[in-house]
Amino acid sequence: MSSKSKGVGEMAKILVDKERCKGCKMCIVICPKKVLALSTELNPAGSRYAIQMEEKECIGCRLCGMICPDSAVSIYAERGINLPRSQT
Amino acid sequence: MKKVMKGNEAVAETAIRSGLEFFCGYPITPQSELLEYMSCRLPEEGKIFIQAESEIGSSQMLTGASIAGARCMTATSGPGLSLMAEALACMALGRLPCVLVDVQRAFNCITPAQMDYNFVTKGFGHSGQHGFVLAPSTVQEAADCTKLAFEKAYQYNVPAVVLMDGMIGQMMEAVELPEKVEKPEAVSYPIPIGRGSRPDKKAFYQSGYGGQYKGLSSEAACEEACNDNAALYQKWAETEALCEAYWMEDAEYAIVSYGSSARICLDTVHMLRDQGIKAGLARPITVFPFPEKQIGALQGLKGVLCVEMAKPEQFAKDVALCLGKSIPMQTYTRCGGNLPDPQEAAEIIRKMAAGEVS
Amino acid sequence: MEKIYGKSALLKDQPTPYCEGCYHGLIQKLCFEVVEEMQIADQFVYGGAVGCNGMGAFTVNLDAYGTCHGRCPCVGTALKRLHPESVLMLYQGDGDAASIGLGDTLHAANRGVAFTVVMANNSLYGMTGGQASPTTLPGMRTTTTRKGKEGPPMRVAELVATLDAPYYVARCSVHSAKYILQFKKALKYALTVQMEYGAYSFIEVLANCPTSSGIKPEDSMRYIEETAMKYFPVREFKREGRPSGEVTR
Repeated sequence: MSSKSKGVGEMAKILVDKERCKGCKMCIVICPKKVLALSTELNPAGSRYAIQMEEKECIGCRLCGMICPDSAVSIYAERGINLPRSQT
Repeated sequence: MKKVMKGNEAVAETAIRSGLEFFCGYPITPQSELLEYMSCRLPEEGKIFIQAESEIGSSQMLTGASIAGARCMTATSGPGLSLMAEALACMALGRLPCVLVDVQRAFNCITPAQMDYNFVTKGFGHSGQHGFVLAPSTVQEAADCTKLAFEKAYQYNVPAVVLMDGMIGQMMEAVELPEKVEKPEAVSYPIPIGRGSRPDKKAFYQSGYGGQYKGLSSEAACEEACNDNAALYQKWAETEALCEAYWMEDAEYAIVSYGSSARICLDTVHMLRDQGIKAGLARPITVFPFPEKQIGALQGLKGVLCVEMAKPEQFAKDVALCLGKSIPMQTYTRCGGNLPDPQEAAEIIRKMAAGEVS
Repeated sequence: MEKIYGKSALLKDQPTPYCEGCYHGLIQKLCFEVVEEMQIADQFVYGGAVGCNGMGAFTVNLDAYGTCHGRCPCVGTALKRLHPESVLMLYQGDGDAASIGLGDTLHAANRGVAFTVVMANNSLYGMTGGQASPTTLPGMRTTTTRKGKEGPPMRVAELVATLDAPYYVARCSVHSAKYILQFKKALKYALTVQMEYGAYSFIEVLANCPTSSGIKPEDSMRYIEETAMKYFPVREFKREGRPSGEVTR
C-alpha cells in the first residue's frame, strides 16, 4: 500500500485544540510537508491558531505535536500504517 | 538527675529528646558547639544532620524539612540570622513549624549581646509575620525553653525561637534534661512526597502561603494568611505570654529585663534590698508574645529600670508601651559585647530613690 | 483513525499560563510525558523555583513545592533526605540556578543528593521583563545590557560536571525532533538512576524566551541551532559518575 495511492486526509490527520493554541507558529515552521497554517479566525483568547490546511497531505510524522509548547496538537493515523508508535 | 553541661549542648540534647528529626546549620560563634554536638548525636539516633553551605542554605533546608513534615531545627547567631530573613519570613507567613536557636552576639564581636531582639520580635523580614519567641536566662531555662519551643512550634505551626546569647550558650551549669519524647505527633498539613493514594488532591507548598489558600488569587491568599496569623498572635497575647516576678510583692522599684541581663540584675536586686531599697525584678520569658498584661500590671511603683544589651534600646520600648507614662522609667544599656554591671544598675535605682534622677 | 500523539494525561485541561512559543511550556511538557511514560506520577514531586518556570506546578496535578529564588536545591535536599522514596525533579531557570542559587546548586551537586535538576537556559530573566543573566550571550541586548552584554556566558553544566558526586550531567536541547527525543531519553535515564541508585543528575536544556529575547518562536529553532549551540555545546559531560568524552571549550 503506497501512501501516494491514498487520498487527502486519509493517512494521518492533525487536530489542534484552538483554546490551547496561541499561534506561535513553531509547528508551522517544523512541518516537513507544510501542512499547517494560521487560521483567519480568532480563538476565545483573541489569537489565531494553527489549523491543517484542507488540501494538504499529512504524513503523521508528529513533529508538530512534539514541538508544540502548549500540547495543543493531536495527531491521528489510520490503523495499520507503518508508523513508529513508541515514544520511548 | 542533674548534669553539668554547656548551654549550647544542653539545648541540643533537649532538642533531640523533644523529637528532633532534622537539624541543619552552619558554623558561627558562639553556637558552633551546638552544630558539632548535633553532628555526632543526631546520627546516633538515626536522624538527619546536614551542615549547609551558608545560613541561607540552612534556613532553606529548614523550610524543606518542615515541608516534609519533620521536626526540624537550626541554630545561628546575629549575622546568620540576617541571612535567614527571607526563609523565616516565608515560614512565618506560610505557617511552617520549626525551631530556631539564636545565640546572640555583639555584631562582629563574639561576646554576648541582645541586639537581635527587634529582628525576632517585630516580625520576620518582608512578611512581617511572627514566631513564638522565648528568652531563657540560665542553662536550665534554655533547655526548658527548647522543649517548650518544640511544643509551641508544632502546636501552632509556626517558627519558634529560643533567644539566648553567648554567655548562656558557652557557660556550664547544672541542668536536668527532660525525658525523651518517644513518638512525636504527625504534622497537620499535607506533605508533598508524591500523589500516592490521593490522585485528585495534590500537596503543594508555595513559599509564603501554602496550599490551604488554593483557589484564591495571590492577593486574596496573602491577605487571608495575614488575617489568620494576626488572630493567632492576639490569642497568644491573651493566653501564652510568660513573665517571672522576683521579689515583686512589696517592691517599690522594679528592674525589667530579660535573658542574661536579667540574670545579672538579680545581684542588683539583692544589693538594693541589703541597702533597704525595696527592689524587685520582672522578667519576661516570652518576648513574643510580650507579657503586656503582666508588665502593664506593674502599678504603684516609684520607678522602673530597663536593662538590656542593645543600643538604641529595643526591649525597653516594649516595656514603655506597656507602662505608659504612669511610672518613671530609666534605661541602662551596655552593648558591643560588654555586660551590664550590677553595681551600675543599682546606682541608677539608688539615684531614683534619692530623687536625683527624674 | 487512532490517536498517535496528544496531550499528556498529566497536564490539566486548560491552556498553559505561558506566552506563545515559551520553551518552558515545551520542556515541561516533555518532562511530564516522561513521568507519564515511566508511570511514576504517584511518587513524583515537582520542585519548583522562582520565575516563569515556577508556573509549571500549576499546569499539572502533581505534588509540588515552590521556594524562594535560587533555593530550590536546599529545600529539595531536605525533602529528599527525609522522603527518599519520592522521585524529585527540580525545574529551575538560569537566573534561579546559576545566579542567585549558584552556590546552592553546586553544593547540592557536591553532596550528590538524590534528585534530578532540569535547568532551562533561556539566557535571561523572563518573568521580571528580560534582564541579563549569567548565561546571557556576549553582545545580546537585554533590558540591563542595552548596548550588548559584555563578557562570556557561564556554562553551568560544565561547572557541575567538574564535581565528583554528580552521576549524570548533560546539556540538551528541544528545538527539533532529534533533540527532543534525546532530551526525553536523558531525563528518563536521570530519573531511573535517581530511583535505582539515589544518584544526582543535572540536565541543562537550551531554551528561548520569545517575549524578552526578541527572537520569535518561529525563528527560535534556527537560533538555537546556529547560535546558542555554539556557546553551549549539546552533549553529555558525565555518565555513571565518570566524564564522557573530552571537555570542549
